[in-house]
Amino acid sequence: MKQKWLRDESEQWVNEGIIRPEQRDAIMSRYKGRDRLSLIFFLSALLIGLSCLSFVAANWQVIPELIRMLIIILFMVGFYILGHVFEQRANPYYGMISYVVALSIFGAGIFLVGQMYHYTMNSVFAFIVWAIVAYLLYLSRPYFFIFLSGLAIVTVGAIYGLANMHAFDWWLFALFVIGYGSIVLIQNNRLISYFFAISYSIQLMGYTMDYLGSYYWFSVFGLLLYLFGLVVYKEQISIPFRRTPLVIMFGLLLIQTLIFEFSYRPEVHVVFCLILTVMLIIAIVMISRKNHLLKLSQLVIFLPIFLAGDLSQFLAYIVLYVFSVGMILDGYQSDHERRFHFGTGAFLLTTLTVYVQVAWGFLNQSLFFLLGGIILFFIGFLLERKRKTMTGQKRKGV
Amino acid sequence: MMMQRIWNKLKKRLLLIVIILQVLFLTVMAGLNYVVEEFGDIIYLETEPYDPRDVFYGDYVHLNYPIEEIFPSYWFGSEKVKRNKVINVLLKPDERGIYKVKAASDKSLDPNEDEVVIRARYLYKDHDNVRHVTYGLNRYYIEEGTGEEFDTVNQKMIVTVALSPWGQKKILEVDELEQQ
Repeated sequence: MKQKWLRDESEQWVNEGIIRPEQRDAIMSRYKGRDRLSLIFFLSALLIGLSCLSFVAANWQVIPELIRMLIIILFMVGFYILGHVFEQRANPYYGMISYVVALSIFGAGIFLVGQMYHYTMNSVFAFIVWAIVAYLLYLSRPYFFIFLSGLAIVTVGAIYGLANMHAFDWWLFALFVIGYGSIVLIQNNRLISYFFAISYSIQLMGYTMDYLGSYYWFSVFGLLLYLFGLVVYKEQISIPFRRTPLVIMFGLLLIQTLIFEFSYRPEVHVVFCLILTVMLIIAIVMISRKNHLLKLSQLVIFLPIFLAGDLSQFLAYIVLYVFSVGMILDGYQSDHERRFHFGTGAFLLTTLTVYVQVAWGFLNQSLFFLLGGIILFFIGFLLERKRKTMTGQKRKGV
Repeated sequence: MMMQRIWNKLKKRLLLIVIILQVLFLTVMAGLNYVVEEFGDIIYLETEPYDPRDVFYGDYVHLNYPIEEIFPSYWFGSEKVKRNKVINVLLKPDERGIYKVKAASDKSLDPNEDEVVIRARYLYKDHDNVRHVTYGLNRYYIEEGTGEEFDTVNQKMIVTVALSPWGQKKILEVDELEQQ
């Protein structure tokens, strides 16, 4: 598809005299299609593998236990060898898929053996072993998808432990932070950092809900990640580590505004307030030192507004607005388009939420939708005009 | 420099090492099973009558045991125990050979000749001061089509469990108790 696009486009470039025909050939030769033959081999291996797998699955119960073990191990080793062969044939993509398949077979193997022999799995031990293997595999073959598989194993393991045994396994979490965290620091890749931050948030959200009994503790863990993002000066890590908790806290606050309406008040721990205050002070000092004063407005999202009692609902709206307007201004000032879009989205969502809650009781439905649409359109229009002048200025500046 | 060279060398071999470790792990896992069956202590536990409606959840039988409830007179441990803490339960066989709770504590317990100590996870204490624990023996996977069928009637069952010296537990058999 892309190749066709390039062929058509480059032909036009030649016609318009932007590039010479030789240059076009040189460009086209860069984007030659993948080795088709290995695709055929790969598909055939996959099909044969699938047929074996379905055959085995259909007859699983009648196969003697030792043979079952042998099948699992053979399949696993087979896919590792296949991966290696693909790499040798300069086909890293298929190699990577084969490794991921082998890694999945190993994980499935642990559970199948456990089930076969009626093992009692009282901990997330299986996930720890699986995640260590994924980690080592990544060290030997640093493919992004192997890293992602490892993160998925850790995250699912943590949630599995919480859901089934109400236990948060600190060994698994230590492996995540130290092992996978060091990869994040070394690789300095934005996507890897984002996935790490998301996995961190999911795990600690689970921990917060199950162990600490209330969602509000998450703001401490979110702020911790944010602080870490401030400390690290590599942008590929720093931005994902700061943005992920901000997005989650924003989402949480939106949900909280719904809860406050039903006058739900969680009990608050003194330790929580103390930790949060200290962390907020550190964040304020660090941001002020960097002279990013507009970024201070981001911190409001971590404030424990539910402490304000009856004023909580009202304060939540203010916090949401301060946060999103701060984001828009920050994006506007720093000429950062994505930040500006994020702020715009946050602003629209906030307005929608406020509108739904404040106006629902007074207006009938059709009028509500009409007015809501008009208000959103109006705000969107204003913001879009501003955004256009902004990108216009940017282009002129270039 | 030296470290770098070692790492480079190791990295080349790492894939092979990882594969060998995985094969070893699966083999040991299966092998340990035979060791437990061969050398472990065998105990018999009774299950609570179950609710027929939610017995089958997926392809396993859900088992509840009376020994999962520890009455105050059997508790010899700390007053406050954290959820999920590993505790010890001392079991003693009754006249039918079914093992019952004799003592439980978050500290270590000394078994007599015919008694066994098994590990459990502490869950919570209810209003009657009964402590609830779990042994991780609540699921018994049934293999479909092998003739192992369990009636969904409200009936007690006898579970045969093997205990390894290092604390591993394994359900060997689940039998329906003949109603007397």
